[in-house]
Amino acid sequence: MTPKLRSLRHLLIVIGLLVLAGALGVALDSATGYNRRLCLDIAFHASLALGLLLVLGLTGQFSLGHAGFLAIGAYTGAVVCGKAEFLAPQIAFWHQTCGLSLAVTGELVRAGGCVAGGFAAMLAAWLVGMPTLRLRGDYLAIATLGFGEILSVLITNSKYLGGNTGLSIPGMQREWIGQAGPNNPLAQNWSLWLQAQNIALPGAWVLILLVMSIIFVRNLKSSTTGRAMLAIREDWLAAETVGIPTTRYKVAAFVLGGALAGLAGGLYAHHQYLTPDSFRFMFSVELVTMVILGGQGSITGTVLAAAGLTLLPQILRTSSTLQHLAGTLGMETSAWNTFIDKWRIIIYAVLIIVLMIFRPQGLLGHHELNILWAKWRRRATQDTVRVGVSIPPVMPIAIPNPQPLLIVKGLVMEFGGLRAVDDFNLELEPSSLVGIIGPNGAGKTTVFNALSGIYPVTAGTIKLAGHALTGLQPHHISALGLARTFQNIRLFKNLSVLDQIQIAQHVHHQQGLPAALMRHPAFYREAEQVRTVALDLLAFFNLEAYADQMAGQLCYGDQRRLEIARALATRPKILLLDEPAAGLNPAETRDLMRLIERIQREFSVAILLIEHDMKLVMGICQQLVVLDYGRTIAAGPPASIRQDAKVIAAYLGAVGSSG
Amino acid sequence: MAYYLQQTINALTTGSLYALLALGYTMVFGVLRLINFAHGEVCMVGAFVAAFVARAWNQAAGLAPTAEQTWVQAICGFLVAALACGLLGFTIERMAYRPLRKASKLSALITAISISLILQNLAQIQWRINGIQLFGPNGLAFPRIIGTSTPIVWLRDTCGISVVPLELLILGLTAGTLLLLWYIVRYTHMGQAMRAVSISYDAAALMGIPINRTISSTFILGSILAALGGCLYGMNNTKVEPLMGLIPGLKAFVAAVLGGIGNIPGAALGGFMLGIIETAVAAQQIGDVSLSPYRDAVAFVLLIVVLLIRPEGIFGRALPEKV
Repeated sequence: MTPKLRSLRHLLIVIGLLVLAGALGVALDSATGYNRRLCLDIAFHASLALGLLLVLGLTGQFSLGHAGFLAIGAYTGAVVCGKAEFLAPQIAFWHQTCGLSLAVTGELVRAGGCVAGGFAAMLAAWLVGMPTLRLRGDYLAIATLGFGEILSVLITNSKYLGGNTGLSIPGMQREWIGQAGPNNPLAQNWSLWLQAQNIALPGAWVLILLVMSIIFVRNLKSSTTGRAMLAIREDWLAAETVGIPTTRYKVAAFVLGGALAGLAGGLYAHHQYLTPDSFRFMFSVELVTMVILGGQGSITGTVLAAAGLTLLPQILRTSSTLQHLAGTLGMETSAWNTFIDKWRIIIYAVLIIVLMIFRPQGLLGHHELNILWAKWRRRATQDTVRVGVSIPPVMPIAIPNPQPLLIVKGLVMEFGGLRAVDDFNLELEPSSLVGIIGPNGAGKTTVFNALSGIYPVTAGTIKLAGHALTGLQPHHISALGLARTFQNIRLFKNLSVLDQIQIAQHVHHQQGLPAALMRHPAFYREAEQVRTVALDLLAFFNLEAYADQMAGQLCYGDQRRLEIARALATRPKILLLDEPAAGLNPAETRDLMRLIERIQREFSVAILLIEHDMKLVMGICQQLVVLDYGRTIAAGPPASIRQDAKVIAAYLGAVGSSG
Repeated sequence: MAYYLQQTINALTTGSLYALLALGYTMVFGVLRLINFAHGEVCMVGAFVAAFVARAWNQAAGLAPTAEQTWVQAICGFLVAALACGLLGFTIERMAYRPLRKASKLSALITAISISLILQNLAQIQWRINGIQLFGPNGLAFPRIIGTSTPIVWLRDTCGISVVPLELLILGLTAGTLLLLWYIVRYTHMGQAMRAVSISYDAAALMGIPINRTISSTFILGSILAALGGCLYGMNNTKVEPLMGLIPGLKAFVAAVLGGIGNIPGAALGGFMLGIIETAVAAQQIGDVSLSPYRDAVAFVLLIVVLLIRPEGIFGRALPEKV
């Protein structure tokens, strides 16, 4: 199918789903009060959980204040619809001059409230997320916990927002009538305004919101942006080093999640009487439970969990089967009802614990419940199995002047009082292969961490093709053309082998979030191209057969090669390999030697290599640098290093230096 | 001067509870890297059990207790509460956290929150033992120690402040407990094992430290501190309620983060600091607006400010990520 057709198909499916949701909503409005309310509750909870899924499931950041964004949206929506006197003349204008029906006018205002709520929540999310998401660890959890509590205290103390007694839109409108006299110039518009606003919340709005949330999160998840977010969840540091600006993506996920909650809030204000207590810690926790129970990152799982967790206490209370069962055990219906009223939250919590213990990965784990999609996927995989033709997927980078590619001068790294690297100097020519050797703790990996921007350097300069690297973030350095692997493999374990390579092409993607959400033809075109490059690269490393497997399931040697493939997918000028032969047997090491030489030749990259295996280092490196206690004790071609007295002393212990 | 002295004593009394609870959070985080959200509820259970013991005693005696008897009641109440909470802490860890130790931290957090829900709701069900109420939706009056609620005369005369003996008792008990805990963690065999587990789980296991037993004893120790906190809270506020653990629990967690989570002296200091700052801010006025209703927000604002300036906590140490 061509990209244009696929884009068209996507558009038709989206329109179809929205129409379906609208129709269901209309049908729902004819249902009785209690069941309708329950359905709307489920739809609200599912939309909220989907917003949180962006933060918790995709990006792996833990937010305990998601209900706070709902509260912001809800109160904003309520103020727009219940207190915005200035809108009354507008309504009269739309209704009388433009000829819109009152119902339509009311819905327009309602939609306005929603959008305002969305923006307000977005702003709040940005303010909370910007400072805290720079930090690693669970700080977001703690900060959002604080945010929710502060918000609740602020609302409780605000007379305008109804304080502790809360507010509802009809109540606010009644108050409005009470306050203004009949001589108020707005008076003539009030009745219209009230008629427009007092129409009950149509179920269609809520279901359309749910479908939009599902499509939004689903399109995001299977796009460059979504994969970058998943990569952050799996390993933020590895994500940085393949060129993903992790802070920006974490903030983006948080702000988008907040926006979804705010939008939902604009509708929630019409659904529920608002009190500050209804948006507190426990509500946020229920949402977190839905996402985790659904499987972290699974959209279908989250929706299922939201429905299940909303229904469960209700089922316990109203199920006639359970009542009957209690009856056979000799329990009166009334006794059963009082029992269940007291115990249902406890039963609910116990069930959650049992579920967590037996399925800690959630209901669906990382999978989606989608039979058709799974079938299509299996077919697509069969198509991709091809005979390994190794085409170098990356064009050689032309270096205009023959200056050294990388120049390191006087590099110093200190941790507390410890000088791990002292006055390190290096010049790396294009397409050269240089090894760094030295005993354990000599500072080799620290040099790599300094070059790739993981640790800030204490002193010294690093220049890559004329750009100073000192002080830059790892993703920036990756974009400038420096890629690395890690001593203790850091793959995105729960993502597919293919995804690793697709994610690593991040810097070279042109299509951003809007294309991913709207699914332009350009989005499909780029997706196909990224996939082809990835498959070619996997073929080069003989890994194409595992393209759809989880990276964590590969055997050790394959994982090592996959990590090198991932680094190459960033199309680097320089590749840093940190002990690529660690844990390999002699035969595998020989293969690796040949592979490294082939990479250097066919991708025309300069390679800097840390290795303990002397045979490998001496065999392929043109130059060697020897470190000991952070100092460079020798540098030169392998032959001269082999003879160097200081190197021999460092490795074997100096003759006569100590007892 | 007298005003500030008065406020300081009030603040330290509030801070005591935060400090006692914060220690539980920080110790559990130290060994398990888990935020034990049920900790505030353990404190609540402790308060209810202690109240129950005093009531059962009074009913059995049939007479109003004398001052000496209320002292004995308080001590017995605390001992039974400590036993009950220790057992509760042990059970919670065994049933809800241990099966998930290898799973993601998030799963364990969900079970922690579920446990907290269970305890809150269990305590809202009328429970009677021999007709004496143990738990209930409306809470219970906490029995007082007779003679501890009248202000000390000479302090009023000399410094002009109103301090009841109960406040001094709370401060003294908290300080004593902190010293005892510091001794246990620093100088006993068990404390050494706890410190080893908190640094490296695997290395400690390889050195022959019984991981499960160490973690269990950490939970028991933390829960006993929570029981003490609950008893002191009950005495100070004269009433215990099923939801009383929630907000102090969250604030104590904030205190633990302020002090640098995992850091034991830091948690105690963080608790007292939180008490002082909260009291100080609540006493302020901006124009006509008293800040007192915003009291509960202070802890969280402070938390966010500290996280921005020193994410590792005031007394914590930042460790570079090992690559």
